[in-house]
Amino acid sequence: MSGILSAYLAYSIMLGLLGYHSRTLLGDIANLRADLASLADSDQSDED
Amino acid sequence: MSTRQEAGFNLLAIGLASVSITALLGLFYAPSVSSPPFEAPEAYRILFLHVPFAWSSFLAFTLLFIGAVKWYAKRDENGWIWFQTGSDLGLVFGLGVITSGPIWGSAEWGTPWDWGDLRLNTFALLTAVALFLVLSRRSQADSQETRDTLSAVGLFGFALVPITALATTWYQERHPGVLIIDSEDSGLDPEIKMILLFGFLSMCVVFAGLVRLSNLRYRLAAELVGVKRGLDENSVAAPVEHDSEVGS
Repeated sequence: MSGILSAYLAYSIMLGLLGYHSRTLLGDIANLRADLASLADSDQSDED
Repeated sequence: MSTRQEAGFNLLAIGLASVSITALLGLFYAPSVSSPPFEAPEAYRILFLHVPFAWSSFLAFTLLFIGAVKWYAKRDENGWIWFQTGSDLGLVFGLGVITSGPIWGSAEWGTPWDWGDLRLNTFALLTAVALFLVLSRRSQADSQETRDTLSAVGLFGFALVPITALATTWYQERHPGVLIIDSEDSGLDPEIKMILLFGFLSMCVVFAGLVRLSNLRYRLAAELVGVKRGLDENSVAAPVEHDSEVGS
């Protein structure tokens, strides 16, 4: 593999790792917020 | 979106944009290096992200160490959150280093790995510790015993950080020495040094954004567990109250 191709491959892996982790993190936060909101809603409706 | 999430998101977005600029500068602006001494002169461009990744991984392992100490000293929930964030980021940045390094090694040395090089092997071990911690956290029940055990592994694992960081000074085999500090053995073109420093600053911003968001994630997860526990206790208590009302 030529030097510049090695650089492209390594950059793709490193930037891909950062992108994947960031996306997973934001997705998890959104899911947790949704879970908390739905629990709060169900708790409120139980009280009513 | 909460202020904490907004700040984390903004830092991450700015950091990722800056890291992408670093990548473009590294690929298209950084000057070519001579051959020899480089066997594969163009492959050196990998270092513009590889080195900031390695530095950021040390920051992540430091976070893990602080979290482990805080957990041990005070049984501090925040300490455990830092520990979790540190192990996650240690794994992400560690994986980036141990995949990009062998790609450069293949081009430059003709072999992806040197089992006789102290720095390569201690860094791989460090990443393996982070992998172990992340997988164990996901597979084990979240109890005080589990946290104690994993914190102990994290504390001992951190001992590899100074060994890895100083390995090229103590015991240099194949891995290049410290790049940024000029010495008789190393010296960088000012443009190369500028891009490398810009890459490190960019990676620090990404790191700060990821830490904020990751801490938020683990705080929300802890809050969710607390709310669920509260609901379970209420649902167990409710029939008892009902029975006592019937009995009276």
